[in-house]
Amino acid sequence: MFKRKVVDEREKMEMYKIEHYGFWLVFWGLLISIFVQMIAFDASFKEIGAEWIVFMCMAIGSGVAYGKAGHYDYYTEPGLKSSLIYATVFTIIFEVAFGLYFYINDMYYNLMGLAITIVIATVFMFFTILIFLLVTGKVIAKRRKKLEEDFEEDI
Amino acid sequence: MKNIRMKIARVGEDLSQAQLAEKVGVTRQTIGMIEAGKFNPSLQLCVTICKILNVTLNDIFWEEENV
Repeated sequence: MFKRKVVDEREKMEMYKIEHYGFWLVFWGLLISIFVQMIAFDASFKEIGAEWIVFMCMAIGSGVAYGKAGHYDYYTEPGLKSSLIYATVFTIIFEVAFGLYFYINDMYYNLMGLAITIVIATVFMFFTILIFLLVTGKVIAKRRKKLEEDFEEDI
Repeated sequence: MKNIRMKIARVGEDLSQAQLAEKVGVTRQTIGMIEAGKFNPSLQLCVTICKILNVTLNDIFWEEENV
């Protein structure tokens, strides 16, 4: 019954565009929802587990597909500069979120201890993300080269 | 930018938007949007349209700089 698609290329492009916006809405919506539940409602993994699994499937799935096709992102090229920017932005977002989580839910002995923990976690997280992005960038650059070679002219 | 030349070529072949759309295998809206300059068709679709309208790609899709 549904063997043949009945949409033409314009309709397909418009549908892709709608699905694109839908995907990113769900992606960021899920991430925000997980953080809000964790921070404001002290939700356990049991409560946010399903959302987390869906989120990770989306993130890993799209990441692997991007990598296979040699794509990085819309606005930057893989390299030290973009990796530094993303590592800084994501570290700040995550550390603020986790700082709030521990602070709001009284999960600390004293404020100074919490501050020190966050600083250490920030440094650790920054370098973890930075190394991950640099390695990913290298892999994508390698993949792009391979794809270019596949379509290289013979003469 | 409106594609007047495509419209003229279509009318020259005595085809309505719906008839051209059916021959090309797209919707009428797509033909309308190409003529209105709201949608950039793929090269494959351009070639199909040209074949049906008995024109070349240059005739209806090439843009002169001073046009």
